[in-house]
Formats: sequence, C-alpha cells, structure tokens
Amino acid sequence: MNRRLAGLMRKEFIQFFRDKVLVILILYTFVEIAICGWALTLEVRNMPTAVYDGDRSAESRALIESFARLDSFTLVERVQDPAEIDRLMDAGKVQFGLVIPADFSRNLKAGTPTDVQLLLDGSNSSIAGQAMVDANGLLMDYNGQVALERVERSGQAGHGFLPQVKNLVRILYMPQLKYVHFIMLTMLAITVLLLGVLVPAAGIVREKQAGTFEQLMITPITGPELIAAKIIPMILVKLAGLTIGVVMSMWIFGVPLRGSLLLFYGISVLMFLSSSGIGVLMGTYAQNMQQTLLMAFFLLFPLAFLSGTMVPISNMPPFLRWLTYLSPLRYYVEATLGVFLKGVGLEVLWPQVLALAIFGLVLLGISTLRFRKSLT
Amino acid sequence: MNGIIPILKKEFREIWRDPYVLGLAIFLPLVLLFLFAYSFDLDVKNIPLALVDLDNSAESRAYADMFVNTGKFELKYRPADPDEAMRLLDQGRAQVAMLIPAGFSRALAAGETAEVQTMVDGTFPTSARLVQSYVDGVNQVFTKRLLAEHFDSLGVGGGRLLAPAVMPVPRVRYNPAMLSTNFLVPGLIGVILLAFAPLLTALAIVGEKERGSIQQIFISPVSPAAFIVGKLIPYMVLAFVELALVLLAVQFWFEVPMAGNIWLFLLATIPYVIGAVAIGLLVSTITSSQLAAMLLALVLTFMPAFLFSGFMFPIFTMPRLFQFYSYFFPARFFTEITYGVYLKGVGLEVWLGQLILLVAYTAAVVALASLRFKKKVG
Repeated sequence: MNRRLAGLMRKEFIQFFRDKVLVILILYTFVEIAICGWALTLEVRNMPTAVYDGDRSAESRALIESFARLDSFTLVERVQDPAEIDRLMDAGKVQFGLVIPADFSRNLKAGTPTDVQLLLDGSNSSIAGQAMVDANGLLMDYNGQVALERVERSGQAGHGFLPQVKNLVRILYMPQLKYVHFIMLTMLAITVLLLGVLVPAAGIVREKQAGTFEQLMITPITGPELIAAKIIPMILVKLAGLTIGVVMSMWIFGVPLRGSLLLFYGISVLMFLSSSGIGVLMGTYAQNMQQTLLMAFFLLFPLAFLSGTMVPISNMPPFLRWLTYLSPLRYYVEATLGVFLKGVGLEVLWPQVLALAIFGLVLLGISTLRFRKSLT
Repeated sequence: MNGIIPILKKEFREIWRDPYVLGLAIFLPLVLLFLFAYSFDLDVKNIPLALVDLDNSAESRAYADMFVNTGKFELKYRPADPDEAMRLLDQGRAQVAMLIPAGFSRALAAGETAEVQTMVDGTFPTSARLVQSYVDGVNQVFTKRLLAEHFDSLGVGGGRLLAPAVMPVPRVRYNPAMLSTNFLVPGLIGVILLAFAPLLTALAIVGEKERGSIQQIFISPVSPAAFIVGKLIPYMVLAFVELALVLLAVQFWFEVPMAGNIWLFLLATIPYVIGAVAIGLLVSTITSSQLAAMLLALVLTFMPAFLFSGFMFPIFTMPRLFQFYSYFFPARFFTEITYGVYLKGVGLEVWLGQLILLVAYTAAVVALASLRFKKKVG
C-alpha cells in the first residue's frame, strides 16, 4: 500500500468516526438482528385456540389434549356454545377453533365417522394454511391409531400379514428446524447488503456536495485509489459489525458453524465489494443525499426480497425466479447458509463465489469509470 | 403561526422541483405492493425432488407417483445412488431426496413393513415442516390403500375397520379461499404509509440542518411552530396521495374484497399519517446527518411496521416481551384495524380501543417532537 492511499484512508477513518450517531446506528443494526432472531417466526406456534367440547367424554378430552400438546396451538378458551368461537374470532381473541360434537364417543364405539369442525381465521393465509396442515395431520394420526386398534381387536393382525410403508423423514442441516437459525443468518446477510450499499453511497455524495472531490482531484491521487480509500475503511468497520452479528448468532442463539469461518469472511468481503460497487455507482448518479438514500431504498428492497430470505425462491413465479439471479444477495445467502448450516466448502459453493466475484469486479469497474467521468 | 403560508409554498415547490424524489415516493409503494403480492407465498409447491428408486417395481413407481401427483413435488432428478442425491441436496438443487430401497415390493408382498427414507433440506424451516407433513400424509394414504386392499382380499370388510374416526371439516373465515394477496396487500397499506412519509420528512429537515439553511429560517420572523407545520403538511399530503394510489390498486387491480366500511378505515388513517410524519420530525431532532436520519427512521418506522405489526409475523407467535414491544409502534394498532375492516368486516365495536391507542400515540409523538424541536431552536 502506498503512502498516498494510507493518508487518504486515515482521513476516511477520522471522518467516519466523527458522526457518532451513525457509528452507533451501524452497530445497532447488527443488534437489531438479535431482536429479530429472538422474536420472529413465520411458523405457526402458540395459536390462540378455543374449544367446544359437546361430548365431555374421556375420548373427547384426550383428543383436545393432543391438540394442546402441539406447539402450534395454545388452548385459551373453553366455550359452552359453538357460536361463541365466532365472536371470539371476530374480536381477534382466538385464531383457531375446534368443535367436537356430542355424539363423538358414541360414534367412536359404533365405528362411524364423526365430523369435527376446525374453525380458522384465514386472514393470514400462510399461518392458517400451516395450522390446517397441523390439525389435519393430528386427526389423521388419530384415525390411524384408532384403525390400528380396531384391526388388532378384530384379530386380523394375528395373521402377521400387514403390508405397510414406513417413511423415515430425516431433516438435514437443521434437524430441530429452528427458525431462529435461519432468520439470524438471513438477517445478517440483509444487513451486510444494506450497510454495504448505503455507507459508501452516502460517503461519496457527501464529498460531492461539499465540493471536496475537486480538491482531491488536483492532487496526484488517482480515481481507483480514491475509491479504494473510500471503500476499505468502511469494509473494516462493517467486518467488525459482522463479527458482532456472527458472535451473537453463535453464542446467544446457538447457530451452528459447520463450515469454515475463513471462507465465510472471504465471501463476505466479496459481498461487501459488490455492494460497495452498487453504492458508489449510485453515488455517481445521485445529485444529493436525499436522492441517494431514496434510490438505495428503492434498490435494496427488491434486492433483499429477491434473495430467498423471505420466500423460498422455488415458490416464486418463473419471472421473479429468473430475476433472483440478478441479486448478489441471492448468492451470498446461499453461501452463508451453506457454510453455517450445511457445512459445505468451495467445492460446492464455487458458483456462488464466482458469481459474487464477477458482480464485484463488474460493478466496481463500471463505478470507477463513471466516477472518473463524473468529475472531469 | 406566523409565516406558515410561505413555508408551505417553499416546501411544495421544493418537492415539485425534484421530480426524482417525488417519482420515487409515489412509484416505490406500488413496486413494494406488486413484489409482495406476486411472490410472497409460503405454501410449498414444485419442491424439487430427487428420487433414488433402487427397487424399480410397479409398487415403487406407484408410491413415487403418488407424491408427484399431489402437485407439491416435482420429480427433477433420478440419481443412481444415495450419494449423488446427497450431493444434489448439498448444492441446493434438490430440496427433498427419497430413497426407495431394493426389496420394497418384496417386503410388501410378504406382508411386512417396507422402509423408505426421505431427506429434507431444513434450511428454510417453514417449508421443511410443511414438506414433512406432506410426506407423512401421502405415506399414510398409500399405506391405508394397501391395508384396505389386503383386508378386502381377505373378505373381512377392511372398509369398516379402516373407516376414519373423525372427519375434519375445516371452515376458514374472513379469507375462505386462503389467498395470500388478501392479507398481504391490505397489510402493506400500514407499512407503506409508515415507510415513506417519516423518511421524507426527516430527510427534508435534516437536509436543511446539514446545509445550514435552517439557521436562516430561525432568524426570520417565521415561528418554530409555523416551520414545523409548514414542513409536515406537504409530506402528509404526499402520504395521502400514496394512500389513494394504494387503495385504488388494492380495489381495482388486486380486487381484495372490502368486508367493512371504507369511511371508518379512512378515519383511522388520519391519526396514523399524522403520527407518521411526527416520527419523522422526532428523528430529525435526534440526528444530524441524512444517512443517520435514514437509518434511525428505518429502525423506528419501517422495520417495526414490517416485523412487529402482525402483518407478516403474527404477534401471538412472539415471546411475551416482544408482544409488549409491538405496542410501542403505531403500526400494530393500524394493522389490526386494517384487517378488521378489510377481512373481518367488523367496526368500531371491535377496534375502538385500537383507534384510541392510535390517537393517543400520535398525540404523544407530536408533543414530544415539537418539544424537542423547540428546545433546539430556543
């Protein structure tokens, strides 16, 4: 590193740390991740449930208990009248209702099916859908059990001839299906993108508005040097923030690290370079800070959305699925989940690394060119 | 309120002069709306499946077909051995790998239990859980059919033995078709109103601070109150323009049914929008650079509106502490009102409490922001 660059970088560091609120906010964004990890889930759990038990038998109580045992439902109300569930749901007190009719245990003994009503607040269709799958699954298991008991009692099982298929499902990478691990890692990735774009863009526009770029241009400093001096200190600060995020994820939330941390940091630097490229490019187009920040907002949201962090990419319509290839965050998220959860290395992640490197080179190249042109 | 008109004029002119900002402020909410409406669907479909069928018999094919026929799974790969299936999972090209071992059909013919192995990529837990349930469900149906055939062949009336004990009769209220657009699109109204108006307000005021032009205004005869009101009104107008556009899109493009009373809903938007721009003012009194203002505005408005309003992440799934935390932001009350009006068709009798809290919240933020602002001036 030559002396000019070192001097410039010192200036950048000083300038950066002068805005205390900004530094605190940057560190805080990584703390915000912890809040999200702790609080947020897209899975149904503790859904407030009301039950009407018209049968009041040992069998109906057992069925209700098996509902209450699921993580998805929390029994909050027992009502005397099925219509009461509707009222509770209107008021937003419960989201799920179970109605067991009076003839449940009698039917069970007679071997005839009973209709059990499941009432669902469908407003949030994805949560309602999951609750429905869980409730149906539970009832299906119940039916299976009852049928098995009947078969055993009928004496047919004595033949020892019961063709069955058992499907052993094994969840890979995250056997306990902890949503927290997923959200911690993806929020970390989104934060890397957010700060990676915003900070350099704002830095460039600030200098542009202050008119200090012109002063720098009459010194022997070259354009690429100037951009390097802008980007490198920021990357160092952001790597510090990233480290806070990683430490929190691993120590507080128990996110496993199955791959190489070094590889993750290497990929993160590539991601910072790509996002800095986007940031610098934006900085050369925008005329003032307000424009820059709005433009960042405009770009960041779709980039974050099209990365598979909020919705699995396979669920998107084909057009959007194709667009995800244009979001560097997509590759970064895949690589992050790959390193932490799957424990895979470069032998699997090379396409993602390559894509990020290409994004970084192209974006930084274009932005350096534009930057030089915008000054002369 | 000395000099409020000139400030208003200046502010409107400034917004008008930068068509870029104006365009973004109006265009961006619609982009948000469309992105969400068309891609946010957490139900699983077209799950890429890698199938290793080592038995390769009529039974094993029937078993695999049953999965494909549900429409949830898409048979994408037929690797020759389990190792290759594992590689496909590692690379993320397949999300489910199923291994039907040799001897599957032999076991069934002998009246034994045949074991199938399924590996599910757990990195997106919501999908993985659903996939697990679907696999269990299909497997149960298949097994039941086998048993029924077996009992029928024995002539013991398998139908009666295997009759279900309970039949689930689901009744889905408010959104019977379970369309995700019906909850995402109205839910975004609250996010959009809280995302842009406070941000623009804060940027405008902090921008004047950065340029130093705010000092010039303070030495002019314009009173601080007039300055605040003059600064806030244009952004409130902008917020209502956004609201109008979004409501039109909700009504005519997405055709979300409105079960309640639109006028009641509009009534609730008034305190919400005032509160939103007041948060922007509050942010401007805390920060001194536009970048910091934007980050703080994000932390105070967009993020809680998005994450803690009950719009995407239901509040009942959160730990107690964060259920409490969600009360600190107006988006929670507004979202409850939105769903009450749009989907449930309930009125003030249900959400009067939320409306009162919303008004109280707005009053508190306005008071706090003007107090802080005046102190700075004085």
